[in-house]
Order: sequence, then structure tokens, then C-alpha cells
Amino acid sequence: MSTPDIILRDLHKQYSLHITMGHGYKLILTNLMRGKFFQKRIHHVLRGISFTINRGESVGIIGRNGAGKSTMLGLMANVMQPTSGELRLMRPVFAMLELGSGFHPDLTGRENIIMNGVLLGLHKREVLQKQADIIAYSELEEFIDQPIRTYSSGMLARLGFSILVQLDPQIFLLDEVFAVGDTHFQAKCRRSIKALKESSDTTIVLVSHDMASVRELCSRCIWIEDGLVKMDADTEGVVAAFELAGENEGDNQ
Amino acid sequence: MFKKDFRYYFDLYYVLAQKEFKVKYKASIIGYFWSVISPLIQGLVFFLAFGIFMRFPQKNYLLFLLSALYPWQWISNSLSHAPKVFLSNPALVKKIYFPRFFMPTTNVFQEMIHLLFALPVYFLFVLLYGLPLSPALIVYIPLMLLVTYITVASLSVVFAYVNVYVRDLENIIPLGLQMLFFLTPVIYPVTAVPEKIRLILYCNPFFSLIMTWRSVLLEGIMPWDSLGIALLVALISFAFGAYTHKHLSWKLAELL
Repeated sequence: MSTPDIILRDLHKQYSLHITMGHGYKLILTNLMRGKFFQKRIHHVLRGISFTINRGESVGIIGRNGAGKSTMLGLMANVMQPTSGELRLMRPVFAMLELGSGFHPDLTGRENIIMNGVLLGLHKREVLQKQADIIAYSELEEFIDQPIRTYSSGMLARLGFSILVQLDPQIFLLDEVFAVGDTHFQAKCRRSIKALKESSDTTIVLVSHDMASVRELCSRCIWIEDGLVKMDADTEGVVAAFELAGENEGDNQ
Repeated sequence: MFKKDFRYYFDLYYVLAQKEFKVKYKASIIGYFWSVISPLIQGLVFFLAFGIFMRFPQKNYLLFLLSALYPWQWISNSLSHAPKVFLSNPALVKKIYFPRFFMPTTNVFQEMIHLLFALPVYFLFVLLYGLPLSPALIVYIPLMLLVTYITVASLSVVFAYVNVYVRDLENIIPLGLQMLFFLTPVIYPVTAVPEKIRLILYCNPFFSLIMTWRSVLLEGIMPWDSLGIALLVALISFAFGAYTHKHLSWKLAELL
């Protein structure tokens, strides 16, 4: 029995770029002469995306740079609004579009855990309960009371990822968050995400360029190209087709 | 999308306000003491310039000055920072969803804490002058904090949102506030303004607010008529803020 968790129906997203002084006086003057002060350039990123993701599925989103993957995830995370079409999320969403977004360099690791946890949608009380686990998972006990501007980028990513795995999410949106830390920590991350994947209650949507992670963590895969769904099937088939397309293109150049 | 409970929004407000406050003095040696020392020193400089050098014929000039200057600084610091709140934290807007108006409004709250540090300095001066402190202040000050917060937070929302669309605002607002400081009776009394043009002062949205603050802090009296006008300004600002939030907030992540 499958219950839908995420439903996208004919989803469109356009960005309009307003022309301002920053684009140069010449452009503004030519536009004025044509009688248009607020000339817009429209960039049509998503051109009608439809699919349904069911509860418990783990779905990889792949595609080339600029295909619209991150825009789509941003829409699902409610950071942006679609231009038209329907987007329905049936359960609360935890979106990690970037590891540690909202970290403040001058706050300590501990303070950032609390802030980030609350920003991601937890009550402060819940974050405090999980704080010990988060710190233990990150293996950063020694540095946790230092301001994070003293951390290396690997350490920052570890802190961000540790918050993420302790969230206990229902719908989980992840954008390129795997290449973190050393191999030891990466293996640990994969194990944690895999454990989430095994649970029938957690729905995972993962945007990635790393086909190995997609193969390992997702059972279904959606290939986005030029703002449209090019292929939506089981991971093996889609990844193989995507890689073949990539190679062919490489040959042509 | 998903309704979160009141408790969550309280926590969110709290962590954001706390962050601003902690970050402000994080790397400084005397830290929070700056919240007391800087209003003290600023007050004394103004007193030196206008009370002693220019000799405004005003009784207890220092108290007269500070009773309006400290509230003004809260308003002014909040509003001059407001246009930059989104632009200085783009990751928060682009990568995480939460109601956007939390960012400008928590900033106003954080600035209010500095006023709460400055008020004891003011009361100290009142006692040094050998003047009594009215017990009614316990009621009047929270009331004034609330009215001022509504006004300033609403305007901050407007400035923060609009500046993402038209980034000229972050240059206009500090300039405007500087002019408004001299056009508001903070360092001089209302009576210094010629009677014929005194009504023009009401065009200044902060005029009634500042006059009410002065009356409350200096005399311990609540001028209800002036509070009424301040409240009206607060409600109008709130309407502007709500309108701006409704129409501009959805697009912020794209424009940053």
C-alpha cells in the first residue's frame, strides 16, 4: 500500500531578472527609448514537472548543472514559490539544502547546533535533548565550545551533517551533502542515511552529482533535463542512461 | 505549509534574537558592558556639547536629553540596520524556510535589550540629581516598549523587504534617520520650534513617540493624548508591515 508524500503536478518556475543601474546605464537608456522602464528577462527553469513520491521511498534527482534540480528542491522546501502548477507535501519536511546553512562563525559549535536545529524546525527543548548525541556523532567534543570560525571546512560539514542525521525526519530533502569530511566520516554518513532509507516511514529526496551515492542510497531515480522529467524509473536504469548520455556528449565535443 | 505551534515560533524568535545579541560583543573584552558604557559616554558627549557649551536654557538638561536620546537610539539603530538584515544573511533566506519577518523583528528586539541596559544609567542620573522616581514607571515603561516595538518592528519589516528589491534603501535610511534626529525635539525642547510651524512636527512619525517617552521618563506622567497618536502611528506602521510581508516575502530567496 503506497501513500503519496510529495505530489508535483505540472510545476513551473520562472525567474524574472529585473534590469537595474547595476546592469549599466546604456542598457537602461536603450530600454527607456523602447518605452519600457522595467524590462524583464525571464528565465524558465522548470517547464512542467510532474511526479509523485510515496512514503518510504528514497529518490535520487540527477541531471546536469542548471537543469533545475536545486530549484525543484527549493520549491519542495518552501524556500521559493512555484510560478504555476501544484506542489503538495503531505507531511512535515526537513530540508538540508546546504550543510550548516545559517551557522554563524562567531558562535561556538554548541550554540550553532541549537540555532541550526531550531531553524530546521525543532523545538529548542528537542535540540537540547539531542545535543549530546549530535556532539558525539560529530566527534568534535574537543572543539565544541570554540567559535566555529576556527573549524576547518571538513569539521564544519561534520557538524552540519551530525545535526541532520539526528533530526529524525519524516520527509527529508538533501542537496549534495555527502562529500563531507574524511573517508571515515563519509562512510559513517552513508551508514546513517542507509539506516533512514531502510525505515519504511522516512521519505528521502536526494539531489546529487555523485552517481555512486545515488546508486547506493536510492531505489528510484528521476533525471531532470531542461526543466522537464527526462526519465523516471529504478535507479540502475536511469543512472546507466544518464551516464551513457554524458559519455556520448563528451565524444561529440 | 505545516502549521507549527506557538512554542516553536517562540523558540525561533528567541534563538534568532539571542544570536544577534551574542554575536554583537563576541570578540570584545568587556562584552555586554558596552551596552551600558556606550550610552553613558554618548550621553555625556551630547551633554557637554549642548548642555555646557551651547547652554540650552533647560532645567536638568542631562536628564532632559537622555530621556529622549536613549529611546531614539533604539529606534535609530534598529531602523538603520533593518535594510541589511536579509542581505547580510543570504544563506538563511535561500536555504532554510521560516517566516521571513522574524529576521528584521528579532533585530529590533535585540536593540531593545540595549535600551534596557541604558535605562538604569538614566535612573542613576535621576537619583544623582536628587529627583524621585515615579512608581508608575513600572507600568508606563513596558507600555512604551510595546508601542515603540510595534512601530519600529513593522517599519523594519518594510525596509528589510523593500531593500531586497531596491537596494538603494540601505543608503537612504541612515541618511533620513540622521536628518530626522535633528528634526525631532531630542536635543532641544518643542518650544524651540516656532509656534507657527509646530504642527508640521506631527508629520514626523516618531515625534509623538519621542515626546511620550520624554514625558514618561522625565516627569513620570503618561500624556495620553500623545500616546494615542503614537499608537495610531504604530497601527499604521503595522498595517504597512503586514501588507509588505504578504506581498513581498515569497520572492526574497530568488532575489538574494
